[in-house]
Amino acid sequence: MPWALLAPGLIWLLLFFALPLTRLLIDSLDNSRRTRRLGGGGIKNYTQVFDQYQEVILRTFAYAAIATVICIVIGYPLAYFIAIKGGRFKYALLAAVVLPFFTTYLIRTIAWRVIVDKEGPLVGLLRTVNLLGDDGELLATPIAVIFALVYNFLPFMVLPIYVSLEKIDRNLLEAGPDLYASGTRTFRKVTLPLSLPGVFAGSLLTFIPAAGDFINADLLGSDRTRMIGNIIEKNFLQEQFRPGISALSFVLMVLILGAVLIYAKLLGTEDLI
Amino acid sequence: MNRQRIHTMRGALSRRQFIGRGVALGGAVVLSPTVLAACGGDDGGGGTGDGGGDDGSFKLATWVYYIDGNDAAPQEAPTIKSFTDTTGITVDYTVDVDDNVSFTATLQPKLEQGESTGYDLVVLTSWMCERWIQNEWAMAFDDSKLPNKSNLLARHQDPSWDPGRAYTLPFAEGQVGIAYYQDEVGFEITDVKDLLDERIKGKVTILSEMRDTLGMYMLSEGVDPTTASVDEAKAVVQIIAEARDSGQFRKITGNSYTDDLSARDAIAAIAWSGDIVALQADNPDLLWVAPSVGQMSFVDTMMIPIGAKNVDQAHAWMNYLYDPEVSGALFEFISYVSPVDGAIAVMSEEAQANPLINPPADAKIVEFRTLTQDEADDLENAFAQATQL
Repeated sequence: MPWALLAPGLIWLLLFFALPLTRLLIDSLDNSRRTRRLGGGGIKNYTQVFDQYQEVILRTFAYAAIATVICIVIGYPLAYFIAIKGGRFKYALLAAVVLPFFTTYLIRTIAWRVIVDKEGPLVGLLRTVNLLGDDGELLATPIAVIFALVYNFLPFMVLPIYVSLEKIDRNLLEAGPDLYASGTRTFRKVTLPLSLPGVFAGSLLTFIPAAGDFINADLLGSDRTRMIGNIIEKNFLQEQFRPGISALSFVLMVLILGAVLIYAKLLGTEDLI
Repeated sequence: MNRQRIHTMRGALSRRQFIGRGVALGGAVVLSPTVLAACGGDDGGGGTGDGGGDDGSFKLATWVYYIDGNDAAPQEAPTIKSFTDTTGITVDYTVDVDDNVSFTATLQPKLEQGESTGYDLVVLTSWMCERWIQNEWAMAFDDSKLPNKSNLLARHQDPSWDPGRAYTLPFAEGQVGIAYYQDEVGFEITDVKDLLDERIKGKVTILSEMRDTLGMYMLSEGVDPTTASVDEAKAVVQIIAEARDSGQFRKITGNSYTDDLSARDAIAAIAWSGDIVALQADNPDLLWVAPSVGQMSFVDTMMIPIGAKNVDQAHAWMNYLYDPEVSGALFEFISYVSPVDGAIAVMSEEAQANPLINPPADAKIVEFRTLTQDEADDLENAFAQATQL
């Protein structure tokens, strides 16, 4: 009987995950005459897209990784403040983190267009202080894309870190100074290791969707900032490109999985939060 | 908020094609063609199995900005309103087409089974219509219900792929040309070659529609797109590839180039005529250039998909559109070239003087030649690699 509880979830996964994924795998190994004519066929579909889109693949992972790191740098202190020093404002502060996300993703990204536009306030300021040249731009640069990724995924970093910091036993934090450890040392030896699962979970929630994102690069980027998601979005429905694009989807999945495993190893954590 | 800013936002917001494609993509991933086909069946249409009758409505799929009103409230558009008033037929008007390939791909499973797609009339670009006819997805017209078909301009009457227009009728013809801001560019642009100038590096957009962009560069290189071989075309693809690799293009896109143009993020572009007329309303210094070596055109064309239920109503609508009075008023508004003889004559003088609506008789406007499936594959593949799309 308890097994029956699993049924809805399992059926869902089977129908909407396992089946389409199998179909995608079959497509990605397509060996029809049409595919072979275009230089692919079977496993060659994979080598072909890998060669053709090397630059895009590298760029995608670079953007996602940079965005994740910036999210940690911004998100950790924020989560730390809310969890440890937030006091009675804790929930108000948490709400402030989440509140912007009541507006749709698309509108928020489009709003960035206005902010980083060359007529916008930011470019003017940066030009005045000479951080940008006189005809320097932000829109259609990697900077715009990466910062929009950071903006869009920051709460997914903040919330797990907050949860992991929040549940640290406060006595442990007091034990540090009691044993003559400095503040920094207590942080390094106690707080940080205990919050790593949160950092790990946050990184997954940021890195994985960021690597698959295409909206930011499409709305804020240029021809030179295209990510794997853009390639897939543009080409998947074109029949002759489908085998290659299916293969590219698997390349993306495998690379993300690899990156996550390496990261887990480096961080030495198995828990999520 | 300054004007510029409002345009940026409006431009970006109007990109429903972007969202639409996302949805279509999601659907395709989740539902494999076989599942789709299995789920298809008798849900389409309004249950009027005998095709027509009193149930006077039909469902139309077309592109944005193709009606003299708001796409979101098409029933208010004068053309549709007066059609309904005179015939009693309601138009279920949708702008579901945003890309020939993806729109066709979503309907394909049903078309292959010969089932109703839910649409009674679709508007696709001519090269795609040709593919539909080859696949026997289009229903032959009943010419007795299309007396106005005789108003079709002579040059459209007999395409090699649909002799006598048995399956298709042109809805609108658009031109591909160059749009640019002279004050920003700083020199005169007369040809697509000028878009590769070092001075405007990174501020140029070109269209992702292969036949349009490639065709324009072929004309510029003296290669005739109506007859060229695939190898000749591929040589021209190389020119685009080199420019792309050097960072000449800001973007290679479909409809969304208008956002970049209206925000002046892009200052020169290969563009579609109707878009530029719309943009010029707010940006009077945006110039339209028809290169003297010639221009590409696209003809968006009406077809009745097989399995359609409300065939009579679809015929009535096409017949109505082919009335010169109706066509004249509609095309003056939407700023494309009407395929209907006599439509120009009923337009205002201003519209008649507009080369985008009434191209001069000596304009060299050509369509890309018919490509076989293999040729199209080869060329599209080469173009995709060149543009890294």
